[in-house]
Amino acid sequence: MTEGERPSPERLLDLLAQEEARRRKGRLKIFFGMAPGVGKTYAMLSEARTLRQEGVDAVIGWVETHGRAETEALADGLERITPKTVPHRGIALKDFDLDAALARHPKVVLVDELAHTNAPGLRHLRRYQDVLELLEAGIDVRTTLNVQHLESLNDIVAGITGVIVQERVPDSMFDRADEVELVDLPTPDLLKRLEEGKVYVPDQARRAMEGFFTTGNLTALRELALRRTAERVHDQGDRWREAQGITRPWATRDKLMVAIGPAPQSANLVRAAYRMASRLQVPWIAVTVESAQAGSVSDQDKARLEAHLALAERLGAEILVLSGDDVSGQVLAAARERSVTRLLTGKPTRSSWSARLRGSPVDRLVRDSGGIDILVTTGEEGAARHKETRPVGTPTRWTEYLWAVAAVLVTTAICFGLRSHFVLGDYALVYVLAILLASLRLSRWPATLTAVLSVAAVDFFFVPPFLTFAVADLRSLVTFLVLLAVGLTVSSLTLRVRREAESARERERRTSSLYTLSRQMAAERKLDVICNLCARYVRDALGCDGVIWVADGGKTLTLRGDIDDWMKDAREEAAARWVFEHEQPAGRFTDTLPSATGFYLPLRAATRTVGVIGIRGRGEKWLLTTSQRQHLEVVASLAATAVDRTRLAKEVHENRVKAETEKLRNDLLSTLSHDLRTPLSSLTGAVALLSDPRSSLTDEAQKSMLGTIRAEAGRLDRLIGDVTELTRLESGIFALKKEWCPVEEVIGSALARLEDELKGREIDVRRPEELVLAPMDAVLIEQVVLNLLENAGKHTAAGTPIDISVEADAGQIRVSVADRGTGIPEGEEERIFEKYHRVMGDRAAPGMGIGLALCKAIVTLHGGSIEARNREDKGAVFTFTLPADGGPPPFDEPSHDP
Amino acid sequence: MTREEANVRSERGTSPLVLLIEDEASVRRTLEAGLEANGYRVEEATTGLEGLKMAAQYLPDVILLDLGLPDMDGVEVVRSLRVSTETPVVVLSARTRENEKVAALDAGADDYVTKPFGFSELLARLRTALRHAARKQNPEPGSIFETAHLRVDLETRRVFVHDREIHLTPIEYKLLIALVRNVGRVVTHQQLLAAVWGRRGIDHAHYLRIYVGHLRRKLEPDPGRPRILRTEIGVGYRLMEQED
Repeated sequence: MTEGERPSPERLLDLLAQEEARRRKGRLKIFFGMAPGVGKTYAMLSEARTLRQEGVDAVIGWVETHGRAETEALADGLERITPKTVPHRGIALKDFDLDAALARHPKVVLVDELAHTNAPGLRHLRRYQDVLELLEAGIDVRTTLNVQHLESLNDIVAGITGVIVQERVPDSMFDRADEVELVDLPTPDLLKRLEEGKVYVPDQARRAMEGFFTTGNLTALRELALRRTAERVHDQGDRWREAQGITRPWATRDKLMVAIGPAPQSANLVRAAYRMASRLQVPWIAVTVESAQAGSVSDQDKARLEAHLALAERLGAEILVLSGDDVSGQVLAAARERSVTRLLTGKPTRSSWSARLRGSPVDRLVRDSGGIDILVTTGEEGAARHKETRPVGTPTRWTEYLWAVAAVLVTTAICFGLRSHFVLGDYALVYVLAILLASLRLSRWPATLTAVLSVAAVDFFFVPPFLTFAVADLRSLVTFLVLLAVGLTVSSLTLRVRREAESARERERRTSSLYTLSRQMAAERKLDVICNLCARYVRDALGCDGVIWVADGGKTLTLRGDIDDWMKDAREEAAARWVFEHEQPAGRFTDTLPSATGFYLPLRAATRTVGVIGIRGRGEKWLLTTSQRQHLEVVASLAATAVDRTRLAKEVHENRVKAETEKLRNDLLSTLSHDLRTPLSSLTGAVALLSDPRSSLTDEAQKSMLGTIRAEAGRLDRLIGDVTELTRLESGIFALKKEWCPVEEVIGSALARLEDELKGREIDVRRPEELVLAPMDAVLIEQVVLNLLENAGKHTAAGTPIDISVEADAGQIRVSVADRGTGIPEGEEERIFEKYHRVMGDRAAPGMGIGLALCKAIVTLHGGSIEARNREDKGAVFTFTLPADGGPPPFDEPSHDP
Repeated sequence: MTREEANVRSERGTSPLVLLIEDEASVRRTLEAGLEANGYRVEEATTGLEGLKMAAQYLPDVILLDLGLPDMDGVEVVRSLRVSTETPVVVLSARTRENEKVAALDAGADDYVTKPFGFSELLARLRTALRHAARKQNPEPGSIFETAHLRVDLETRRVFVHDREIHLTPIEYKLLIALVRNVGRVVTHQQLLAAVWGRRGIDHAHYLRIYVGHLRRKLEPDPGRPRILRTEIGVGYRLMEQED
């Protein structure tokens, strides 16, 4: 081992993470055998007993003892989970109770028969899904499996034994097992056990089973089981070597692709591809080419193709659904794009005329493959076949045949009119034109009918002997044949061009509608709108009812958008909830909760699952194609991103608000503590001086101290009043009490209240002679005037005059308070109204930050405005306006006293 | 005997008794000291219920009631007091609680003092309240009313400002008389509206403001800074009393 071959740190971390993930999940051990009767259940139970003796919490989840005494004896004394009883068509079926096992949560649970199909109505279709859920929950599972139930070996087993096994387990289950114990028994011993009746065989299957248990079959199955186990051991060796830094002997960049179609044989093709891929240890892709036009494939074929794709997916393939008509071209383009090195496809089982003429798709694949190896196996021609033999076009309506006949009739009429000028070749050309036009408008069979009718018409009307189908001349026969060939070719080519154009249009339409959707959602912040957009998109693009559940923070799922009745069904909700919790699809077309009518996908965002999207088609025969499903997956990922974004936006907004609140609080605290402390320090200073027995203050000085105490206490009171008032106004629960009120009344009251503070100043009130009224909350507007006056008093020298003016303009009144102080620093005119702002360099006069902010809040609430500027000569002027539209209600003079 | 003390002598010949209903101990302490220094006797209650009980028990001359009591709404206390007694009630209330003051006054309180208050203001309110109570008991038909530069001859309905007779409209006169009857006391908008226009005027507070404005122009030398007809914003008006 050299330094250079060490695994990269990323790879090591990856392996570690896998190891870690595996540790958190339960461990799976499979007792693997070649056939029933080799003693798997017995081995499993023996191990459980040993575990029990070691003190491990091992319980029986489900065990089939088939009444065999020795097995029964082993199971005795082990705790059993009570089976669930499922009523089905009048009989009570018993099956493994998954929920009980999850609730009991033992360390180890025994679940026999991994391949079992669950009783109808249980959560999962198959028992291996139950096992997966147990493992997810961190419970160790012991289970049993026979080789013929392995998906990838299914066809081989069928080939050997002639028995087609319906209950199959995906190989991924086998591969993910932490331990596989092969329970082996030499063939003669097994046969002997069978003879002794120690092997359970259901009565109704006895004959079939007898055919099954032959020496030849059993030996072959034994070989299969041994080989599959050996392969697994081999893989483990590889993994170990990789972890130790030993490169894999065949570290290649190979990639395998298999092209499949709807024919039944495609399933074998998929299995063959899986076996090849796992032998080569390379990733593999299953590809199919859908017809561009809906309706060209029968429902039966569609369902079969879906089954093949699902099989491939279960076996670990990447699924690729292409659309278009040039099958081989599409497949090869996709293969090149994904650096595929080997392409597997089936041999054509039948050949068609077109294949004979132009070469079958397989021929074309081989011809155009370039550097890709093409492997052709028996079976169908895969992707190609269903394209070439199926009629294309929308279902043909009988009117199209009428059109075809009409086209030929019209052409014949024209030709008949011109017959004196025409020779045979001219007729043929006019008919070709007719066929071309028909192909442009009609679907395949009507177009072909046009071609055939045209030949007949030429023969009947224009080839001597006329009005018979007889042909006198060999040359005419050649003309017919050429006409027929040209007609058919033209129609087929035209149809193909049309189809490709339609398919391109369809792709274009889908891309652009997805683009529109993503753009709409990117611009949207409201959750409900996003959900409705998605639901509408699903309805328009997929023709299904769409629904979205969104997780609200924790685990609660809430239906969003337009709600239909079907979604409220408990089964649908259960499916959605399961999907959300397990982050896997469920519902119809899946093996989990298949009794639900809708199909559900998780909405997976970058870091978490944000919800579930569900769709339901209209009508009973609704079928979800793989391309629709992929389409839905794109929608789901768009929706997940959008939904997640609303959450992130909310969080960002909340954080910003929090930060701003924090900042405001800090500002408030620093301003408040400053503004409160300044008058307090004057107060305590004055009180200390007055109460100090040693100080010898003159009467005059004592009086001045007392004056200070009074003024500062008053200031403190007003400051606290301002803060509470501002808080009240900003809380928004407050309603203005507006009444028409003369402005002079408010000013007069404010002046009276500040009598002491403004003593010695000349106060000039200029106002119109008549009363000026405005609708206002007089208490608050008085506060504004009071604060402005106080502000003026504080920022100017004692004894300087203050000018108040009131003006009534059109629809509003203006009140100004002007002083003769130092004015407002440049650039501070706006900011002085900000809460908790104080003009810098003016620390001697505290408190006005809040006072002016309160003024602004009050005036703004009244629909007015407030501004500050410097006077032209000296000092500052604060002006506020109040709207006064219309004047007070009409004044009807009440009757006078007599 | 100081001038203050002389002023507050009740007709019973002893110093008047104040019932102080207030839950804050520090305010109680200050008030008690201040009131006793000015010739009042003081009884204290800390809750509304206790206050009501003591009002019945001590028959005080005046009640000083804090509106922010822990156990009862202050307005409710006023209403309960008014059921059994005509003892003047002066309420203590914080600034910005105008609605509360108005409610207390309309419920029958005589006057209010805004916290924090100057002591001189409080004493003036108490004196006015006592005077009105005394007047109610022995109404003297005094036909001339005088305050500052204003003189009203109630019998002849003539009004003089600086000894010059002025002409008032009937409404203005009614308004002035309503204020004169309550001189020194605040009169709420509702009380004035009812006195001048009866029930009918109650919705039109701005009538009142306009008439007050007109009245001021006739009574006040500077109606922008009124001296005798003061506005108590959000509450009502007060005709200032001339004290000797």
